[in-house]
Amino acid sequence: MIEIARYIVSGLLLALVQTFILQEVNIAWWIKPMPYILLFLNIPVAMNKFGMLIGAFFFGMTIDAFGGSMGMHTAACVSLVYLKYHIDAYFLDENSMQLQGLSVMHEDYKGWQWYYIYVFSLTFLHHLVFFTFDYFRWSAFLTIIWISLTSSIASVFFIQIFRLLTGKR
Amino acid sequence: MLVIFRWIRNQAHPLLFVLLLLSAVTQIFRYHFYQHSIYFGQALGAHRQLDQWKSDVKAYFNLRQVNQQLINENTLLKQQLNWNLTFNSPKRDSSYQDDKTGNFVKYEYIQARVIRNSVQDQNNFIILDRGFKDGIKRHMSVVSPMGIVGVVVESAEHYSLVMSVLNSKFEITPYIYDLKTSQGVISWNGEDPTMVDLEEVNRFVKVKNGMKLFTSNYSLLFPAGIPIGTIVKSSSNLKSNFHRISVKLATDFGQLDVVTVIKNIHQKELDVLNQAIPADKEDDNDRNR
Repeated sequence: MIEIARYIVSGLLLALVQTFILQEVNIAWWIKPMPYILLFLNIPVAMNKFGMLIGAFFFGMTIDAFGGSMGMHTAACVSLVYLKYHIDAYFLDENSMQLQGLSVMHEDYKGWQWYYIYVFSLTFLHHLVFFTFDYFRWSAFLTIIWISLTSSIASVFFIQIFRLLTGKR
Repeated sequence: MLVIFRWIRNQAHPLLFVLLLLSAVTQIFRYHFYQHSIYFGQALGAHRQLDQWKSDVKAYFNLRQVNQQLINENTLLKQQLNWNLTFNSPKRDSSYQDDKTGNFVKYEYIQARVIRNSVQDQNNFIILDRGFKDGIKRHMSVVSPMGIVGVVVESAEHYSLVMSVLNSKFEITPYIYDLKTSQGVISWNGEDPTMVDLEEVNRFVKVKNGMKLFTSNYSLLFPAGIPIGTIVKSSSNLKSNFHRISVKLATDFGQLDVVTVIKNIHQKELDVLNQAIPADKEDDNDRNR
């Protein structure tokens, strides 16, 4: 129970950081970092999948409500959680993770290359969905790919900063 | 049934995902004008042609209804026009002002549809689908958008009988616009349903072809200024004091569909005055209507 409360509080904090700082600071038009997906990376792999979907829906709604972009973060978050469930089931072995004492993906699990590929691909998928709905036309296809790539790199950078700040190793 | 439930239970996770995603996408399309316009622009583009065909077919079947609406609107507009009064009567004369609405009204217009019409007989009559329940009474004049049609001679509850211009008993005195005079009597000789004769026009009146004839302000039935026809042939000889004039009717009686029955709201006063005329002058009066 205390775990869930912790996730809710950290989710709110991430949402506030996202909407009050990162969305207001204009780095470049092709860099729009969204490091709040750290929340989903921090939630244990063995979590209830339905609860995760619904939680992601309301978390996305919260960010949308703060930022005034109704529905776009929600769609991206829900897609991310759904894809993450299948990616986890395919790439992560729960038994070996338990042996290592891990509940989430970590550098210690299979080395930092695997970790960064995992985080970056999830971030990229999330950003791809988000920017697809943001631009929403075929002629912007390359722009969507490009802005998703650059923003994913920025997001992964911010995610690592947050992890350092919160002391999670 | 059980199979469906089992399938839903097995697929609950993807189903929930699709449900939540759809709800998010719905929000996007509802609250973001840009995405909204693009989505509906694309989606409608695919169906636009189909919609066009559908609309065309529908419009065809709605034509009659639309016609009816236009007729109603026209009637309403006529009621509101200022030249509701005849053009020789003093406009905006306070004695013509309606006490309740303040409008200057002398005529009311009732629209009706021709349900039976003949042009072949010697005495042609028209039957309208409106009767005294709609306010149609004897001696009301009937006009079409093209010109005069006739006079109501009898009205039943839902139908009324109209004496057409193409009737040997019908007579009217025209107003010759170019000469600014009212002379002669128009009557039908029973031959060509597009032509009538104008008789009893003085030989010294300089009548020319192409002159337009309208109803005159001496008519007790018709408002002044409704088209009757155009002079197409005129001849005179020294033996007679009168021209022999052929007039092409403005109204095409073969095409009559919608007509307007005109009610003079002071008809009762006129009738009373008419009866006060001594009996030996009745003939004259009938002729000049």
